[in-house]
Parts: sequence; structure tokens; C-alpha cells
Amino acid sequence: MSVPALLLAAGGAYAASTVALAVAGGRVGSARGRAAVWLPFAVGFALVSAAIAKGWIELGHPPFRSLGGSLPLWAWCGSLALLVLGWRSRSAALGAGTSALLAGVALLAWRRAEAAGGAWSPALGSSWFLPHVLSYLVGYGALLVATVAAALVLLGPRTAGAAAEREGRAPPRTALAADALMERAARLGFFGLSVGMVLGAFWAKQAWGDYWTWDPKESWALLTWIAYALYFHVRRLPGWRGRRSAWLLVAGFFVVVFTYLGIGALPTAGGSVHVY
Amino acid sequence: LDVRRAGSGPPPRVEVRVWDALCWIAASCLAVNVGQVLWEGGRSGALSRWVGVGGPLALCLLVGAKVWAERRTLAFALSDLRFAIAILLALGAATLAGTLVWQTQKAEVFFARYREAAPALTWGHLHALHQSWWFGWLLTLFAAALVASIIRRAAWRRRELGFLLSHGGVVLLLAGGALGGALGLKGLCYLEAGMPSAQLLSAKGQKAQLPFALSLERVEQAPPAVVGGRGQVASTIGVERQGRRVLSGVVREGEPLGYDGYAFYQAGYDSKSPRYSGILVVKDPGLWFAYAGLVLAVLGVAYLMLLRPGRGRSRGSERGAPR
Repeated sequence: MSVPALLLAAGGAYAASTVALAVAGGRVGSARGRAAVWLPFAVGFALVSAAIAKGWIELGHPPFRSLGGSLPLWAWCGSLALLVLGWRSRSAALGAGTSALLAGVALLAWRRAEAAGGAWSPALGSSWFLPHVLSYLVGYGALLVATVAAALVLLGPRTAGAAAEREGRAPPRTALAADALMERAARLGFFGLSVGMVLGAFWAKQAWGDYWTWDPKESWALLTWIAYALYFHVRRLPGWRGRRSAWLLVAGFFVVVFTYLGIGALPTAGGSVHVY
Repeated sequence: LDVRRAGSGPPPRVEVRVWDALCWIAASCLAVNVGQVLWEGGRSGALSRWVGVGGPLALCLLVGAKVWAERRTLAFALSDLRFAIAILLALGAATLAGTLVWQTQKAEVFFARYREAAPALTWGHLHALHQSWWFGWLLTLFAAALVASIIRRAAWRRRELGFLLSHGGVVLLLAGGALGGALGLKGLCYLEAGMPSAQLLSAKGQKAQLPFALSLERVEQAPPAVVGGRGQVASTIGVERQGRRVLSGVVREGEPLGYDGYAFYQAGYDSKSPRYSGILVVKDPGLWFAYAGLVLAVLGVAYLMLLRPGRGRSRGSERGAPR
């Protein structure tokens, strides 16, 4: 199978995972039943892994140098983040939501797989490249899971979380659990963003002479970092846990998506060294 | 600054007699100034000139005294979480604006691009936002908020390690950036083979002189390392000081060459004229502060985010997440 075919199949598997987990995920009790509803997700993960491995072998270098090339890595990191962060909860709702987003990422990767990457800058051959991209995409993967957990908080009963905290009542167990899960995922995501940004600064200094130039991509990377820094600061205010901070995570994810996919639409994008 | 005590209770009230006195002086000076201008019909007399200098001076003293007298209150306000959130929001808004408006330090380029909107945008320094006075003040306030919060929470306990490292690291980074901005040098040196040059051209279009001359021996472009790639450009350059060659080496894209605190980067190349090369010369005395800040900040974030997730706060077991 070619790389685009693997990505298309992965998109299908993640979509099937969404349906299986949403329809049957919360009802099955046995271990065998759980394994059956999680099987499409495992297949999607395996197909994305195969697409990355095949692309790497074909090109002879990490296949992440273009947008289309790095998207499968986002799907891979998102899948891994779901396994690591969601393993304890075994939440089918979290699995269904994450699978839906991963299906979107895999299908976008399939659409962009054939797009030419243009004339690659020699800067992309740097040894800083892989750890920088990997850190960011681990962060993006964890933030994808955090966003789904935030959506679960928002879709939960209104009396849950912050409202209950304000009224001096103990929040329901499910609300606390979803809130803790989204914070845990956001922590891993913020760590990934921070490491990626610092590695990018070292790389930029070596490649272009400045560790920070306010390039549009750099500025949006900083905006993403600020959005999540705001989330962690705001959560310390009374009444801001639960639903209110969940809204911030959802907003933060839009910033992530724009930083990753939308920089080319900015009026200043022409001056960016990060638009490939 | 005794901020720890201030942090433990409401901000203290400070009686400021000096401030009151200076307030009266400043108000009187400004009143006399305005009166003089009106009396002289807009002509500037000797008295109004003196008062014109005295007024702003008194105003500066007034603000300084106010800041000093209320230093505890000020530090309390600066270290407040709500202030940190406001600063982060303001920095976010400024960063966003910098990506929506084309950034250039050359006014003519900006006016040609934005035409009628250019005067309004340049009034707010949006054309060179990151070099503007107000953005500098925003970063200063950001640093002040970080320092105030560090002083307020500076209990050198393991519990605070992540906070101190992450926030202190950002302060060090900002200090390194400020030092580099104030004492650093950056510009392009256009070299032609056989013609040494010590002249730099900054992003603003200003010229600067290097204490040495750079010379170009040759420039060449290697074949692409990967399919679809672009070959790496490399210039063989020399550094000459007082007529003597002190360094000779190759500058490749992404592989700078260093000499006496200066770094040389391959920045420009014309494949049609292989006798010319653009070398970016950078001197940044704040670089190691910035690097140390980045490393400390990321260590602090690692500690806060991975090693101490939510300790001491109400946390739910994730086993109860929605099924």
C-alpha cells in the first residue's frame, strides 16, 4: 500500500472507531467487548504508524518536512497521547471524541500527502529539526486529547465543576474526573509546546542568527503558548476550574490549529521563513 | 522590597507628604506654564521656558516619589495573579497584531503597502511593533510582574522550585533580550570577491562600522542533499584586522563562523553572480543570559507540568471520567 492509501485507510479506521466507541463503548462490560470496540482505534494507530515508517524508508529521512508530511505524526502522537492519558479512565467518550479528530487529521494528511513540499531550505537538514518537530507534535497530540476532555466537561451537566465549586458543593465525580483528565493532558501539551519552542529558538539561532525574530509562525507559536499559560493561570482563580477553563482549552485548540495549518492565510505570511 | 509581608495581607496604606508637596509644585508649574502661554499669546518667554522645564521635571519627580512611596502596594499589585493574566492577554493581543500588520522598519515600504491606512497604523507604531516604545513597556511590565511574583513567593523550598525556575528563566530570557537589543549589533555585510568590507547595513537601513574587515574568497552552492531540496550555499571568508588576516573559514547556511564575540551567517547569494555574497554579522552580548533563561524556564515547566501535576489541589480520580 502507498502512503496516501495507508492514510486514507487510517482515516476510515479512526472514523469506525468513533462510531464503535460512541455507540457501544459505554455499554460493554467485559474485557473482550472492550477490546472489540477499541479494535478500530488500534487499527487506525497501526496504519498511521505504517504510513510514517513507509514514508521514512522511501525518502531516507524523517518525512515531516512539509505540512502534509508532518500531519501523520500529529495523528500518531494524538493516538499515543490518548493511550497514555486515557488508559486509566478507559473512557469511551474520550476515545470516540479523540478518534473523530484523529480521523480528520488522517484524512487531511491523505489530502496533502501528494502535495509537493517545494524547495526545502538547507536549514531543514539540521539535527535540531527532529526533536523540535517531535516535541511540538507530542504537545499538539496531548492538546488534542485535552480538547476532547474539555468538550466532555462542557457537555456534562451544567451544575458540575466550577458552578458547584462556587456554590460550595462538591462537584460530581465524573466532572472532577473529566476536569483532572483535561488538566493532565494540557500539562503534557504545554510541556511539549515549551520544549518545542526552546529547541526552535536554539535552532533558529544556528540557522538564521536570531533565537527569536517575531516571524508570523514564531508569533503564533508564542500565542499558543500564551493561550495555555493563561489556562494554567486562570485555573488558580476561584470558580475558574471546570466549565470556564474548559472553554479556554477549546479556544486554545483553535489557536493550535491556526498555528499549524493557517499561517499561510495571514497577510504577513509572505515574510515568514516557516511557510513551506 | 518587603513584598512577602505585603503578600500576606491587604496592601498597606502609606501616607505620603512628599508626594502631596510635589503634586502641588507640579500643578502650580503647569498652571503658571499655561497662564504664561495664554498671557504671551503663544509666544515663549523666559519664564514660561523655565516653567516649561520645571513642570515636566516636577511631574517626573512626582511620579518617581509616588512609585517609591507606594512601592509595597505596587509590588503587591504587580505580583497579583489578575495582573499576570492581564499582561498575558495584552502580550497575546500585541503578538496577534504583529502578525496582522506587515512589519518593517522602513517607513517608505510601509506607506507604499498600506497607503491611506499607513498614518493611523504608524501612529500606533504598528509598522515596527516589536521595536515600539509601548511594546518595550509591555515587556518591562511583564518582567516586573514576574520579578514581583518571584519575590512574593521566594521561599526556597522544593515545592516552589518549578515556579521559581520557570518564572526566573523567563526573566533571564527577557534580560538577555534587552541586553542584546541595547548593546548588540546586527547587519548585513555585502561582500564582493577581492574587495574587503567593514560596513554593515542594519534592518533599518542604517550603516555601521565593524572593528575589522571581512573579505570573500569564493562562494558556491552545493548540489541538493535531498530530492526537492535546495543546495547549501557556502562562502569562504576571511577576517582582517589592521592589515593582518586573523581568521579564515567557511560559512555555510546553518553553520555560522565565530570571531571575537561576532557570529557570521550565510544570508544572501545570487546564483547569477557568484562573486557576491551576503554575510549576516551578529553580536549579541545577552545571548548566554537568554540561553540560560530558556533552559531554566523549560526545566521549571517540566517540573511544574510533569513532576508536580496538581499536587495539593483538589483532583478527581480519572477512573470516574464519563463513559
